[in-house]
Amino acid sequence: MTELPEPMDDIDVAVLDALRRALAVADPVPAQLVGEVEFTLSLAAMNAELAMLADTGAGVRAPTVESADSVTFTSSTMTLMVVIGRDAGELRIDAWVSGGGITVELIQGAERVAAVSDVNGRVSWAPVQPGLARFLISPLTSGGRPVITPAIEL
Amino acid sequence: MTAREVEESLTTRAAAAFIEYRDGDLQGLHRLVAVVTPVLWHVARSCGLSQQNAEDTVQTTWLKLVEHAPGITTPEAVLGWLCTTTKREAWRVQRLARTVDLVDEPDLEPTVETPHDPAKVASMNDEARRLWGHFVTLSPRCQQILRVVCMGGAPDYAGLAEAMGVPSGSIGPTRGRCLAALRRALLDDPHWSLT
Repeated sequence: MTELPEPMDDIDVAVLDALRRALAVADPVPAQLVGEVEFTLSLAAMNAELAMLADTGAGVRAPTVESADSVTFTSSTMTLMVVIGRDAGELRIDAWVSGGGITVELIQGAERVAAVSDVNGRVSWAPVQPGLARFLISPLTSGGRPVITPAIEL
Repeated sequence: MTAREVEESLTTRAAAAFIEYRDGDLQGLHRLVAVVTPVLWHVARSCGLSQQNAEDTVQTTWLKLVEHAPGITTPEAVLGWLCTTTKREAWRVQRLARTVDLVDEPDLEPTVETPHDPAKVASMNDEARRLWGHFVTLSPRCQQILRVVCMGGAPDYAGLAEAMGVPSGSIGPTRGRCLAALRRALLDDPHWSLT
């Protein structure tokens, strides 16, 4: 290298600013990346257990099939049955969890909507946007692990 | 991100958010993620990763931060730590990918080209497209360094360059070979003007 280090000046700063603007067009940061990182970190922080799709034998439909209207998840501590329906043209979700007074969150991207199960263990959300969704169930006992379900297509 | 925002040093903002997180405020972690994730994206992409691999690499870096946070005793070092961790993870992923490539094309010399979308470059305004034309003629190594250092303000320049493997032998931010080359190309271009 023959050039001696020179201090940066206003032209250098302007060149770097212009490059940053060009990069924002040529290779933008994916819009959902920050939200996905935060979600991954929140799961790691909670030490959440990933629920499994229950095998209910004949008639079970994969959660990725758009027409799936009823899905059951199980974990070591609980069961969540989800029924996807329509209410005046809008999606609605009714779910039953194993117990009353349990907080269940419907998570769609960065959107999280919490609901508490009634005495029959029922929770519902309406209207619901179509797209990928997962459910987060708060621990049933203090010191227990929260449960997160895999994503399903609504 | 506007120029004004990056003038408040990324290093300082990242350090402040990290201190909040270390002191038990989870919002600090959210702020840190929001501030630094765009830089890490460009670190991963500058190492030649695909979009999907770059996203996975950035996720892995943040999980590693949570795991190693207690060992980071100097908050001002957190930005450099995150960039270095992303770079190492990106290289690991690249090595795995190249093993596959080399089976198909044994004569292919590994290079790190700046990933970008040609359709998006075509949609740039004149100033940006002209700058981009000069940028891609720089060595892959210079493209890699500049792509990352431009994400910070002047106070971050030396630290980001160091994280990308440029030895910092001098005090304060100096221009460096790669920025000097881009600056010269632009100043010699009669159609480019500072805006």
